[in-house]
Amino acid sequence: MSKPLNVLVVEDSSDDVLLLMRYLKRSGYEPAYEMVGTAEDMRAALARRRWDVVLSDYNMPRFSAPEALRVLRESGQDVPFIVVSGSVGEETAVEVMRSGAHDYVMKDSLLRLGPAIEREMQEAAVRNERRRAQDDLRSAYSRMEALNERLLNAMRETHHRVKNNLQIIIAMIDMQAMEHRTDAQVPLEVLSRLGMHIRTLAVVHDLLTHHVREVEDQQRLSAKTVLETLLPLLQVTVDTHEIRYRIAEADLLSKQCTVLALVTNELVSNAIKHASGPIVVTFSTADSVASLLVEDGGPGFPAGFDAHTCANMGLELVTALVATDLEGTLTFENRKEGGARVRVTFVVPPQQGREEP
Amino acid sequence: MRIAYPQLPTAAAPHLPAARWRTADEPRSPGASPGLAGLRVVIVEDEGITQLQLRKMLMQEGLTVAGTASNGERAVELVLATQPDIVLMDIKMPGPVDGLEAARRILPRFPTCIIFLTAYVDLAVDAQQIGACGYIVKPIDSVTLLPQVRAAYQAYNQNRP
Repeated sequence: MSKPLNVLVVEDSSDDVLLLMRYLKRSGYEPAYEMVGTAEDMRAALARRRWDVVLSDYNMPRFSAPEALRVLRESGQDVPFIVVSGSVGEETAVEVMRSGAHDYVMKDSLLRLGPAIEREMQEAAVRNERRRAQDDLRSAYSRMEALNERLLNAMRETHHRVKNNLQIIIAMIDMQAMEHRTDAQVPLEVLSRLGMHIRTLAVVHDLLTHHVREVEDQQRLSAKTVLETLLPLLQVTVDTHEIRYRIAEADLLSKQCTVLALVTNELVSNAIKHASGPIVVTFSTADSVASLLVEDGGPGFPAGFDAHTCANMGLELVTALVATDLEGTLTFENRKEGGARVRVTFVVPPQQGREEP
Repeated sequence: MRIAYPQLPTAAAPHLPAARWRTADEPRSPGASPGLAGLRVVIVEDEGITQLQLRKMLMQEGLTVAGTASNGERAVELVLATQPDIVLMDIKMPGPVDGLEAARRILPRFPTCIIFLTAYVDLAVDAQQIGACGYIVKPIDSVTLLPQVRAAYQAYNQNRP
């Protein structure tokens, strides 16, 4: 059974080409060939398709084997290149082999041609295989490097977040210590609030670790996920008040999530302390502005209430978080139907992939 | 100008004064720490809670907070306008100008005692090259921070030409 063979013949004599083809058939090949006699024709032929072998005469009126070798090398293809020529002298033969030809077959010993092609094609296949393996290795290595880089970044991100949380915790403890520096004892309520804040930070840390989405290099997390995890946790710690909530879906930046959770925690804890009846938490967004409402049915704020001067550490904390971290607004008002309402508004990032309500 | 840099070699684990807890009947009062009371400070910090904490501890210690900024650009304007004795400066802040760059812009125009407060342990050398007089790694609390600020400010004063 004859093997198909695509042969590019660099030759100026059609008779010689036919002779070559006859020998190839005798060696068991079924050759399909194209004959080129100039560099341009050869370039075009190389660009057009893949060849199994290039057979080249040494001297032609407008081309030569060394020039043909150069054209082949420029094409970047690794195809066996065999010079088939009359006697050119030992020095020339050595020279052309040195410049990259794979074999040299004399026109008067064409019986060697078949076996030479066979051997060179096998060697080219081995070279190609090795190259592919090296490419695979290289790309596996660069995938590994990219993965390593991503892991390092994630680690740095986590490290930074943990240190931030530690700073928040120590700042809260430090401020309480300053506040109570003349007291014999720190009230239990202070400690429970600190405990709740630490649990809050832990919850947001968990959510940021497992549910964060990357959008344009920003780490984002849904406010709904944060608040619907936090509020039931708050409810567990209190059986005197019902905490009701209605939370819209909105993506927040990771820092906003931590701050929103701390602010909600503090405002709900305040409502629990000062009011009776259910506490209603509403979170909604409109035109990239989020609002958080915390409403209760208690006595409301006294006339002339000012969060900045009310000597309430919790509200001081909320004021600082809203102004500095959320760059938002904070308002305290009394509801017409009785009770207090605290409103926090801040700008959320553009909500790609989310329907604005 | 030669600036001492007391915190640098031990930035990650600064030497603290001998451990001694303040007790409730031993209140800190303004003037209790000679060398800091009456000085004017600018706080540069983008975390609201830390800003609040710093303001409280500095005021309790008898210092005056001349202003607060939460990004590097604002910090440069504020320090040049208020000319404080001490700047407590965070490094990583939002915006194009971080704390290190803000210090680079401030010091040639107004030499002052800039003390970095940062979560990162690996920027101390940059801080020193810029000419900072302290580098304190977060988290921070009043019991450990104030002695460090005091030491940095004293060293800064002694080495002033």
